[in-house]
Amino acid sequence: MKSLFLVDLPGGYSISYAELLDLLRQQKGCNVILRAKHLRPFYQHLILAMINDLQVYLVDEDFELPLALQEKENTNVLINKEKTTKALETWDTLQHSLLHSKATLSLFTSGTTAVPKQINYPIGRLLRNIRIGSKYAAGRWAFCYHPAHMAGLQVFLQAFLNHNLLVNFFGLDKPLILDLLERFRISHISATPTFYRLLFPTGQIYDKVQGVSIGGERSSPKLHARLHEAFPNAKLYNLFATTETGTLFASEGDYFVIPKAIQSKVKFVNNELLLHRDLLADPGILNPEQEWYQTGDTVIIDEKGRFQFAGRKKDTINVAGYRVKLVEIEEALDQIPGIQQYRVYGRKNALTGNIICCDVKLLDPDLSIATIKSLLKENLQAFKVPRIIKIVDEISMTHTGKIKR
Amino acid sequence: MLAEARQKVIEIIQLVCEEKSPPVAILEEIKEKTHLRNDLALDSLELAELTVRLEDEFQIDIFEDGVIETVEEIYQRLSI
Repeated sequence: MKSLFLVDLPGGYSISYAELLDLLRQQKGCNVILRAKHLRPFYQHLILAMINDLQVYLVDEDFELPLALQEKENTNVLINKEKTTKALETWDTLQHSLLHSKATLSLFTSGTTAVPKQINYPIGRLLRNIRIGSKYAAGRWAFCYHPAHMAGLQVFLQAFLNHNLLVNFFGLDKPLILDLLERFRISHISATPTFYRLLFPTGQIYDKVQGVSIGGERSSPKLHARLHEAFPNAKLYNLFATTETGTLFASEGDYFVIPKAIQSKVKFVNNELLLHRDLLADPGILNPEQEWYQTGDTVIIDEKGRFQFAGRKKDTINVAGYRVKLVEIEEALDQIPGIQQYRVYGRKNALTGNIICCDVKLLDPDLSIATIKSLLKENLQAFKVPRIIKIVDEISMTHTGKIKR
Repeated sequence: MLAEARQKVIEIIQLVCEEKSPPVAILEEIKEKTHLRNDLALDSLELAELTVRLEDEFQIDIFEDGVIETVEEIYQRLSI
């Protein structure tokens, strides 16, 4: 039987490893700006770039590239024919080539200023977390993350390098997800707490699932209990990862233990997690004299020195596993002439952690909430558009004269 | 009183639905058995918005104790 690489129902196709190799052999060049619209071309270009040790830029669908990169979009970079042909001879040669790749993955993250920071990630760093071996050979993965984000990349590499099946679950609704879990006898799921919460109650148990990882947001004992119920044979893992570092901590419970090897490189200041520059994929994001990187992640520490992810500092909030920088929304509001002042903030809820809300004070009394929303939608991804907008007479200020968040 | 509270719930669901493009529901169509995700096609962000709006009205986070699927389950959670 042909072994399948990818099943993408929304895309309407499936592709085997043999077919993928054929497609790759026919490809003459490779894009280095990878927008995560469709999985198959995205991975085709990523694989070619890895074989050729190129620098690729992984970006969201709506990401506005820095000027210097714009000309690279949609232009094919020539690839080394000899090297590529050799790597694509068989699956084993491809796996070997990818495992020794010197490619650089560039991702953009929102820093403390409005300008997105480019992080250059040597692929070797990511590959270090990948486990390969016969134990992993039969994996069948539910793919539940954004493909261009760190978590999605790690799932892809873990699955692909073990010749596993990936089934695209990203953005699907509950009945289809439950159907696919059964139909493809999924063995591993890696997703955010929000993804799992939306599956409950599942109505039946899925005993073929062996591994369930949770990442990106705070999870809870209640969620763990429900996961154990639905997936009785699965081992649960909590993962802590950031765009700047990749996966750093893993635990089987609510609390993370800092591995001995990096104990001196992790500290907490005012309950914020700080990482030593040695742990960063790209220490270039810090000033040369800066030793510690402030993650913006707040934690709860117990008496044994273990910690739990509590949330984000106020300038960034977590919406269903996505980090949203409030300043990005504020900038989009700045573009709307009829708005005089605004306050953007998160509202907590048990489903997505937070949703974005904002209060606005209008200059133009005829401006409607619907118009504001549709204008914001032009510039922001759906999860960043404030869900609840209130028109107010006065915006509340803090005692230092800053607008409250 | 109960009928009033239920009417308020329906209005809030309606409000969330109206902001979808294209809007999916009209007032008469929302019944007890209406399924929030399957019938009204509310996604996770819209469900979260619904929760927050309901919390403003009723001071209860309906998703606190697990996922709600139908309008009837909202009534139960809010004890109305």
